Parts: sequence; structure tokens; C-alpha cells
Amino acid sequence: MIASLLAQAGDWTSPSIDWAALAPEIVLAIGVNIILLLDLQLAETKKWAIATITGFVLLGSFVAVVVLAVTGDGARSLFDGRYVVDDYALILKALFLLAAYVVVLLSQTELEEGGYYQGEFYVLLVCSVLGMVMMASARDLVSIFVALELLSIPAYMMAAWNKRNRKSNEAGIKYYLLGVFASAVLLYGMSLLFGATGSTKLTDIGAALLDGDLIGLDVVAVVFVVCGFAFKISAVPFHQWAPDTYEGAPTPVTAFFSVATKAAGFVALMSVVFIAFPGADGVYQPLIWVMAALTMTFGNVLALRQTNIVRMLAYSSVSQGGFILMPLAFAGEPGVGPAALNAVIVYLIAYAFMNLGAFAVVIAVTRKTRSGEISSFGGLFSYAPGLAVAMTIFFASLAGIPPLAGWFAKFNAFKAVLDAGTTAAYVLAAIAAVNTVIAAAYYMRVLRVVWMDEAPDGDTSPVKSPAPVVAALAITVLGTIVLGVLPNLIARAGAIDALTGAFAG
Amino acid sequence: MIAVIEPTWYLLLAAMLFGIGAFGLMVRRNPLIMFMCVELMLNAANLTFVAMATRLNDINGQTAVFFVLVVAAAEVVVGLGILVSILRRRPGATADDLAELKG
Amino acid sequence: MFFLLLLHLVIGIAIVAAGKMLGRRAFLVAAIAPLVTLLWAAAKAPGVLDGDPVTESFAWIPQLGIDIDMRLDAFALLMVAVISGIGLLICIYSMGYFSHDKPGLARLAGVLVLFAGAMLGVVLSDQLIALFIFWELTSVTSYLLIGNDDTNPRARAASMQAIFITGAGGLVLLAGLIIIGQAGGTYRMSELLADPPTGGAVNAGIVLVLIGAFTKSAQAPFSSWLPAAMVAPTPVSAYLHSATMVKAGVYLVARLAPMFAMTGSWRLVVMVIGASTMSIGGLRALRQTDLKLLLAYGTVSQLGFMMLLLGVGEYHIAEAGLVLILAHAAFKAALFMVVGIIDHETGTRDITELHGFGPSWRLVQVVAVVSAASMAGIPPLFGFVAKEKALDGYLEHGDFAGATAVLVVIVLASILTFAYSARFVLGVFGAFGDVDRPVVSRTAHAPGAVFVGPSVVLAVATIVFGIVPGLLDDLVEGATTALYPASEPKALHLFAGFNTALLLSVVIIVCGVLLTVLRTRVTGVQRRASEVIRPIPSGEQGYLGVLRGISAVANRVTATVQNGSLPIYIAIIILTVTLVPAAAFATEIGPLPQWVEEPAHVVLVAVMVAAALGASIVRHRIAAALMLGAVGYAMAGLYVARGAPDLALTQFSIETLSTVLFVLVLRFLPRSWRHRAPSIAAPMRIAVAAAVGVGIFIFALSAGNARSSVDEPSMSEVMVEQSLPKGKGHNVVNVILVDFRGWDTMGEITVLLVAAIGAVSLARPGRRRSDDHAPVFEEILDAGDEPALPEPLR
Repeated sequence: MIASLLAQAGDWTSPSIDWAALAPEIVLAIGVNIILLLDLQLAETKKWAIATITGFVLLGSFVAVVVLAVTGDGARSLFDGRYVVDDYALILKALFLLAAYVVVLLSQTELEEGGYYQGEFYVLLVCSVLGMVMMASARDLVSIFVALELLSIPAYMMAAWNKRNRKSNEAGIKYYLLGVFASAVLLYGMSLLFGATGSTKLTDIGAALLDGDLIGLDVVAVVFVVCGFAFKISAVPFHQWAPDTYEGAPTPVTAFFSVATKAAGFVALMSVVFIAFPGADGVYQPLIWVMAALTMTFGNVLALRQTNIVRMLAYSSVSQGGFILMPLAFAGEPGVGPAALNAVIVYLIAYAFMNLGAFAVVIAVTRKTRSGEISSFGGLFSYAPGLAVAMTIFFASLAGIPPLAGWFAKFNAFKAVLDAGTTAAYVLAAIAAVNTVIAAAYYMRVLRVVWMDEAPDGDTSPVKSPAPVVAALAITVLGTIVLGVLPNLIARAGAIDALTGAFAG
Repeated sequence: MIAVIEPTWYLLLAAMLFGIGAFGLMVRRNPLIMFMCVELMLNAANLTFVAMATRLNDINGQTAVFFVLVVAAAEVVVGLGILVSILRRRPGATADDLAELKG
Repeated sequence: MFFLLLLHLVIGIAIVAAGKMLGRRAFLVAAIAPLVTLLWAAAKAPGVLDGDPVTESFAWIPQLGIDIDMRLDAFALLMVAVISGIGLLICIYSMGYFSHDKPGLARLAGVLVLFAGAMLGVVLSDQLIALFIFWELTSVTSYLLIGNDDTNPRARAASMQAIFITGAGGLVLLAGLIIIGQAGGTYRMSELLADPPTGGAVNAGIVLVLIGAFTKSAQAPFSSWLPAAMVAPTPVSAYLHSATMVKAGVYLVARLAPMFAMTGSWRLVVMVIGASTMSIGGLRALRQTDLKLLLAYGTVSQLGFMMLLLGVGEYHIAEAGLVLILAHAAFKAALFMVVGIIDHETGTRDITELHGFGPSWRLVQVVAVVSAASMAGIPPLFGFVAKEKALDGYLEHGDFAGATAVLVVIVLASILTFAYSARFVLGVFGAFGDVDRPVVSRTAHAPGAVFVGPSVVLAVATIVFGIVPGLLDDLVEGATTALYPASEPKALHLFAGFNTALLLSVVIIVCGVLLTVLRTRVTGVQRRASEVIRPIPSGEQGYLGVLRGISAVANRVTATVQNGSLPIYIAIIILTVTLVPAAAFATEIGPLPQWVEEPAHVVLVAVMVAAALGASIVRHRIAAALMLGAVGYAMAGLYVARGAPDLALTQFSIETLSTVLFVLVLRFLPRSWRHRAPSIAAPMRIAVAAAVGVGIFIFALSAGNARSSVDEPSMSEVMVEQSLPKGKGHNVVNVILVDFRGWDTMGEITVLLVAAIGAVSLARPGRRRSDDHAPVFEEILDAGDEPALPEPLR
């Protein structure tokens, strides 16, 4: 028995670990330990250094990603194909690290002034990023689950980080309870998927689902898995946590959630959809279609009546998620797959810059006004023209006004959907078009307040923004403009069909 | 070797556990008990993994459960941390009370 | 051409940035942009009119084959002349209109320049996507221009309406352009013209494009935004809402008509919409008492006329449309300027409050009469040349279905045009002045030269081009050839001989005079008619209805879905997750499976189900925690039965740990929970529970059909065999965890680490710093700072 097994498995070798491919993760893991140790050693007055060091850890990991991307010769497959470092993974890793870096820049003064816990916060942040970076490469249900938990568990705590604030408490507990519930749904789906296909490896699952007709068990498994991820990307009807949590959590954390956590959910969903579910497109496509349509519509309609800017941005981020989701509803149509993948990645990159930027402006302004009401942004142009211009750029980009990053992202998404050419595609594109208009209404309303209104209390003293916030604004403004004016930069980056294992057929 | 056993009843049991968990999550208003219900649901997933692993003769299912168990333990710790922090501020809060953020 | 766009961008931004420093002089700076453009266009004109277009190209997104191609052909030249010519005059006029510095003036001037740049981009783009981008930029800048008066809520609403309708139309347009571009294999209009695509998708595409163009050019039923936009300052109205932006839709239709007029339903749609717009606009203009609104509805009517001329894809008729674009720009901008002067000097533009003007107003009155006469189509003015050409075009070359009907509509609507032009003139002269209203116009100051000058220039142009239309032959013929390469355009004449067209013109003028003489009776008829028509929803009501609907839906949805209640959130998720798949596989119910093979299982299962139910229902919290523990232990028992002892051991220890943790924390939490009405009513809970139960039952019955085991030895078996030689370990599970899945284990250890660190930080009472102040977004909290926890846990 053993002999025969060995004979069959003659070409199997024990997993040799390609350490170079894991360099970004290893830098982060070592970074976590350094931050922890420093937090113990540093005196209270020197704690600010931790943020700087966290920044360096993230940048170090970013450099590792860039080196891998430049020197890389195709995909590197580790752990028997359960962990793959390909172009797709590298681009998204870079995105996560950059987003996290901006969040660190934004958190710095917030944390110092709020008197929250410094060292622990950055440990949580880096751990969460580590989970995301692992998620980009995970090609196995168990790895995906572990990565998802690694990024979520710190996130639950970060939401509740402002302990002395009831809203932050509530944000934390809501996010946590709904989050673990969604994890349970996802995990149950994974267990059924494993039962239905006999493997936890995405490529094997893909092969098994393509083989023969789908059965009931497959359907349930696929639905549960997609719904589990839908929670992370706050797709309707799994979105309810998002506005509550975004409003309650500290603002930099909200920026992190709305960009990085959401992107991580999309990464997991894309890996699963493109590698494991090509055989189940009859199941996930209608599901994603409905979710995309509901998500953009609900997000927009609810955003219309918000008076708090963070809550409005929360709903806007829900609705943007619908747009990102849109191309995936046609991922299985013949010939559309690569365009859909490209569209989602491009959108995620553009969205990261413009949404982080929007939050950066909100943080910079509310440092002075101490209010999250949209009306408190009145007269911004008169006393902080720089911030007003930056805000205009971000909001116009979010609304999809050319020539900014958001426009190109939307255009790409529309194009991918119209490429599908089915009636369902045209209907979804029409829904998306209507939603773009509704969205423009509330983005424009904020810009009107910023440019046209008077300062509500007549206080027109200039806003002093700390250097890290200015740096964050510079990065995001630059990204939003450059990607919009020269979209061939991301178009090239996004033009990857290098999601290993996908589009094989 | 392990005999191939009909797993349907285990699946049904797991589904029932999942359902009970979901039901409890909805009807209970103590955040702590709600969390216990989520634990029930995680157990359902584990049971499915193990039942399927036995049937498919694939040890991967069992290893998956190890990961889930540890993650579940971590979730318990975090959940209790957040709960303690929230109950410190709002003694006796129920899930229905947690509705300050809305709209 | 890129330098022109860049120039507009730079000047626009510079003016906005310089802000208060410039004041009224901002308009002088702004005038540089159109002036340079005009000079440039004049320099290029000879070559362009010889049929040699100027082109520039910039590779923008090569991956998607999207370049920005600029192309100045004769039609574009004609539009550039209108945009920059009127633009220059408007800049000068604004110096007079804004006689006092006020905040926001420089912003207005800057945005006006930006708008002019965007508008130039629209007419210079040869590439559909680039055209769309500039198109949207005109919408955005016009939004800022209309809403510039921030104190006026009507201005805000109007600007919102404009951006809502034109923005929506823009997106529809984009969809249509993409469809056409994909079908044609190119996004360049000059290439599409040579080889227009056809097919079902193209038919859909052109309808979408037409809808986009109709919204921009205020065609029925999308015309409501244009009258509403009249709250904008008059220079803006004169520029955007008569001469330039509203013509963008006409421009696009004119460009595409040569390619698609014969395709699908293009021509029919254009004729129906154009004809209804022309008549409805005329009818409504006749009812207005506000001079500006009268002009706005008149513009709507004229835009419909242009659609009828430029959209049907017949070059003789299109040639008339080109003349009309020029004529309309001249007379309508001048009329708006006159209204602006009246409004500025008297404070009103309501014809019931005007009682005629003093002698110093003679020049303004002459401008008004000349321009209105041109609009009415009275010889020897420019408007007459255009109308004559149009009638002649439809008479001589309207050999397609429906052309005669359109001709009838044009004649009838032209009578209306005559009537409202007369109403305008009579209004200015005080014929409608209400004796009860205060008389301000007689004593009003005469406007200055800068203020009147631009409108005089336009009136002169109206007369000169009316008498000597041959001056424009080169431009109009060149533009016609640019649109229809195979065409042989005819020269323009003031008097083309005694023909049917002239006869129709006479009919129009006679009927118009009659209508004007009988105006009181006509007004009565109209009022009665409008009583009848009122129940029929207009575009405006439709727009308001849509807004109300969205708002109502928003409130309703928010109140029910997003009420902040956790149980409701959970119920929604559970229902979705259960019902979606249940519907999918209700058809696959299999036979009931065999009973379990080991009696021991039955006991375990019974314990588990009972304990699970207990944990979710029982009131006492510690009992619930213990029952959850019982479920875990029973689970461990099952694992043993299923041949996974290591797992059972792990489950056992973790279950013990969690139970202890739960009980520990519970011990310190308050015993009694506040009671409140639950957020979900009992029947609802039961219904959801029942749905979940049914879902599970169906699922279980169908699960029996699962795939049978995989045949080949799975990788895990290989792992089992390889664990000693490769992993150097006897315990398979250990080897898998640390070797084969080492990376996942690394992640998991990090999870534990982060959970421990974070939970400790959270559970500790908050530490405060001496220099503590409230963090951003944290509201002043209630005095809930006393710890609710007893000492041991702090």
C-alpha cells in the first residue's frame, strides 16, 4: 500500500520555500516584533517614533514587492500551489502597503491628540496588512480563511479603538458580531465546498466544478462563500455594518476600512471567482449581478440624505463597491474575464487614491472645525484654498468626472460590462449609469458647500495641517491626477492576465 | 483504512447546528450570547469539514479544522475584549441598545 | 489646438486663484482667451476652408486605443467662431453688467473661461471619448456658473437640475458612443464617416447618443432645465444657454447625422423630437411675462428647429441649419444682452412692470427690434436668410417620409416664433405695462457704452449678414462639405427669386402679425388650453417627480434597513443566505439517507442538538455558556468517532478554555439586562426562523447527491506518507501544520498574537494623559466614566 502510494507520488517533492518570494510578508512579520519591542522600551514622550518606524516597515515591504515585480520571471508558486506570488498578487500587495502607509500618515496626529494606545495600534495595523498581503497570494481555502481572519481580527479592535467614545464602542461591537457571523457563513460555505469538490486548493476546486453538472451542494457552497466575502466588501444586503462602523470608528481607521479591507475582500472574491468558480458562473454571476445593482443603488440613495460627511463617505464607499463589483458579474462570459479582472484592479487602485484622499481632507479639516457635519465645510475655499482644491479633486474623481482617476476606473468598468454584450450587461450598465448621476448629486453638493458657502461661524482662521497629513494629501492628489491624466500607467499595470490558474480554458 | 460512511446525517446535523446558531443570533439580545451562537455556527462548519474529510479520505479537511479552532479561540478573546470595553461604558447594554449609529 | 485648451485652463485657474485681487478686471483677463482663439482661427481659416483640416494627436491610453485627436475642419471653425466670438463680446458685456465688485465675480470669470475651453474641446475633438470628456466638463462648469449665486436657493436647485439632466444624458451618451465605437472599430469621427458601422447594436447606440444630445440641447421632454437655469447671471445665460453649450447637442447630431441618418430610427426620432420641441417651446414662450424666460423658451424652440435641419442627414437642409446656428447666436445673444441691460437698470424684467423707456434708450431699443425681427424671420435680416434657406431645403429636397409633415410644423412654429418675437418687442416698449405696477423704466439710467456695445456689434452683424449673406458663403459651404464630403452646397442669397419658400415666408409673417394683433384673444384661448393640458405631466413635473421619488425611497429605505439595530441587520443577512440557495436547489431533493451506523452517535447528536438549542434559548447566561461547552464536548466525541483524535483533543482543550473565559467574564457583568421592546416583532422572528429551518431541510435532503470520493490518491495521502521522510516527524498532523501548511500556521500564530495584544489593550481601562483633549469626531461624552467593572478585571 505504502509502496504503491510512493510510486504514484514519485514526482512529488517536499515544499521547498522560496524565501525571496515571501520577503514582503517576512519584512512585515519582523516589523511587528520590532514595533512591539520598541513600544515596551520607548518612553512615553518618544512614542511618536513608532509611527515613523511603522512607516518604514511598510515601505520596506513595499520595496520588496517592487523588487519582486521588477526582477520577477513569471509566477512563483509555493506550498504546492497554495501560495502564489504572481503579478496579480504583487500589484495588490503594493496597493495594500501603500494604502496602509497613507493610513499611518493620517493616524499619527490623530492618535497623539486622541491619546489612544500607540504601539498596540500600529501592531494591529501591520498585522492586518500582513493578512491582506497574504490574502493576495492565498490560493487555498484554508489560507484564505486564515488571511481573512488575520486582517479582520485586528480590524475589529481598531474599530473600537477609541474606547472612551460610545460610538466607537458601538462601531467595534457591531463590526465584530457581524464580522464573525460572516466568517461563520464563509467557513460553512468553505466546508461544503471542500465536501463537494474534495479539495481546499482553488485550482482543484475549479477543475472539480468544471467537471460535470453542478449539484445542489455546489450551489449552496458557492452562494455561502460569495456571501461571506460580500460582507467584507460591504455589498448590499451585507453592508449594514459599514456606515455604522465607519461613523463610529476613528477616522483614519475608517479610511483604512473603506479602502484596504474592502480591497482585500475583493482580492479574495476575485481569486475565488476566477480560479475556483469558472464552472459555477451560472451561480455566482446572477448573485453578483443582483448584489452589484443593489449595492450601487442603495449606497447612493442612502448617501443622498446624509448630513455627516463621514457617514456620507461610508455610503459612497458602499456604492463605489457596487461599481467595482459590476464587472465580476460577467467574469465568466467568454472573452470578458481578463477585461473584468483588469477593470476591478484598475478601479481598486483609483478608488484607493481618491477615497484615502477624501478622508485625508476630512481629517485635516475636522482638526480645526471639530465637526463632521457637511455644513461645517462651508467657506473652506476662503480659508484653506489648498484643502478645498484637494477636496474638489477627490470628490470630482469619486463622481467620475474626467480627467481624474475615478473617471478612467468607471470607464473601464463600463467597457468591461458592455464587452459582455448580453441583455443583462446592458441593463446593469444602465443601472450603473443612473447611479453615477445620483452619486454626482451628493458629491457636487459637498463641493458647492466648500466653494460657495460662508464659513458657518465666521471663523476663517487658516487650517494648520501637520506634515504627515500634508504628505498623505500629496500622495493621494498626485495619484488621483496622474492616474486620470495618464491612465495608461494603470492600464498597463492592470493589463495582467497573470492571475495564475485563471483563464486556463 | 477508514470505511466510506454516508455523511448525509452529519451534514444535516451540521446544518441544524448552523441554523440553531443563526436563530439564536437573531433572537438573543445579549451580545455575549449572540457571540456564543456564532461559535455554534463555526462548530457546524468544523463538523462538515471532518465528516467530509473522512468520506473523501482527505486529511486536509481535518487540518482545516485545526486552523478554525484556533481562530475561533482568538475570536473569543477579541470579542470579550471589546465587550468588556463597551460594557464598562454602558452597563447592561443589549443588542437593541446598540442603535446609536443609524440612518 | 492643445495650446488653446491649455491657455483656457491656465487663464481660468489663474483668475480663480487671483480671486479678489482682480475684481471686475477679471473679465478683461478672461477676454484674452477668446481673443487669442479668434486670431488663431483666423490664421488657420484659409487653409481649412480650402478643405485642408488642421489635426493634432496625442496618444493617451494606447492600451485601449484611445487617443486625443483634435481636428479643425470648416464646421469646427464655424463653431469656434461662434464660441470665441460671442465669448469675447460676453467678456466685454460682463464688465458693464457687473458694475460693482462683489465676491465670487472672479470665480465666475474664471469658470467662464474654463467653460469656453471645454466647449472648444467639444467641437475640436475628433475622437468620441475625448468629445465625451469635454462634454461632461461643460456640464460641470455650467453647474458652477448657474449656481454661482450662492445665496439664492433657486439658483442651487436650478444648477442641480441642470447637472442632473445633462449629467445623466452625458452618461447615456457615453454608453452610446462606446457601442458605436466598438461596432465601428474606431472612435474617430473622421474615420467613422468614411465607413459608418451598422447592425442591431448600432441601432441601440444611436438612440442612446440621441438621448444624450437631446438632454444637452434641451429637447422635449428634457427641456425643463433650460428655463430653470435662467436664474444664472444674464451674461452666463447669453453665452451658455443661447450661443454655445445648448448647441453642443445640435453639434453632435450634425456631426453624426451624415453617418447614421439612414440607420435604424435616427431620422424618425430626430423629426418627432425636433418638431415637438420646436412647437412646445414656441407655445410656452408666448405665455411668458418674464423676458428672460420668454427668450429661454424661444431658445428651446429654435434648438428644436436646428435639430430638424441638421439631424435629418440631407445636406441641403443641413446647410440651412449651419446658417441658423450663426444667425441664432447673433440675435439671441443680443436679445439676452438687452434683457440683461433692462434688468440691470430697472431691476425688473417682467413685461407687466415695463412702461417703455426714455429717449436715451434709443440704441438699446434699436438692437432689440433688429434682433427680434431677425428671430421672427423678417427681411432683410440674417434670420430671414436662414429661415428662407430652411424652407427651401425642405421644399426642394424633403423627399423622405415625413418631410412634408415636418415642413408644416416648421411653418406653424415659425408663426409662433414671429408672435413671441413681437411679444418681446412690445414688452420692451411697454405695451403690456400694468398700470398698477410701479413705473421704473421711464426714469431708468441709460446704460454705458461698454454695456451696450457688444449687443450693437451683434445687431450690426445681423444686418450685414442679412443684406450680404455671400460674405459667409465660404464658411457655410466649407462646413457643409466637411459634414457631407459628397455635397455641392449652394450659395446664400437674401433674395432667391419668387418661389414657394418666399410665399411661405409671407404666410408666416402675415399669420404672425394676425396672431400679434389678436393677442388678447389668443392669450385667453391659451389659458383655457393650458387648463386642459395641465393634467398631462410635463418634463418639469417628471423631473420633480423623479426627485421626490428618490427622496421618498431614500427615507423609507433608511428607516427600515439602516435603523442601527443589530438584530435586524442579522435577520436580513440570514434570510438572504438561506433563501437564495434554497430556491436554487429545491428541485434536487434526494431520497432520505441511510440511518447512522453507530448507536453511540445518536446519543452524542441528541446531546448536541439539545445543548445547542438550550444555549440559544435559555435565559440564564452561565447556563448558556455551559451548554455551549456541552456542544463542544459532544463535538469532540464525534471527532473521536470519525477517527480524528488529535482534533478531538484540540477541540476539548479549546472548548474548556472558552467556557472558562465566558463564565469568568459573565461573572463580572451585571446580572440584569435592561429590558426594552425587541426591535423585531415575535412573528417576524418566527417567520425568519421557519425560513431558515425549511432552507436547511431542503438542503439536507439534496445534499445526498454530493459527488462521490475522488478516485486518485489525494495529495493528503501523499502527505501522510511523506511526513516522516520529508518532514522528519512521526505525527502527521504536526508535520502538516508546521511544514506543508507552515505559512498558514505562521498567519495563525500572528492572529493569536494580535488577539492577545489587542484584547488586553481594549479591556484595560483607558489611560489618560495630562494634556489630553478631545479627539476629532469625539463628542463631549456623557459622564459615563465610572467603571462598571469590579476591581479584579481592571
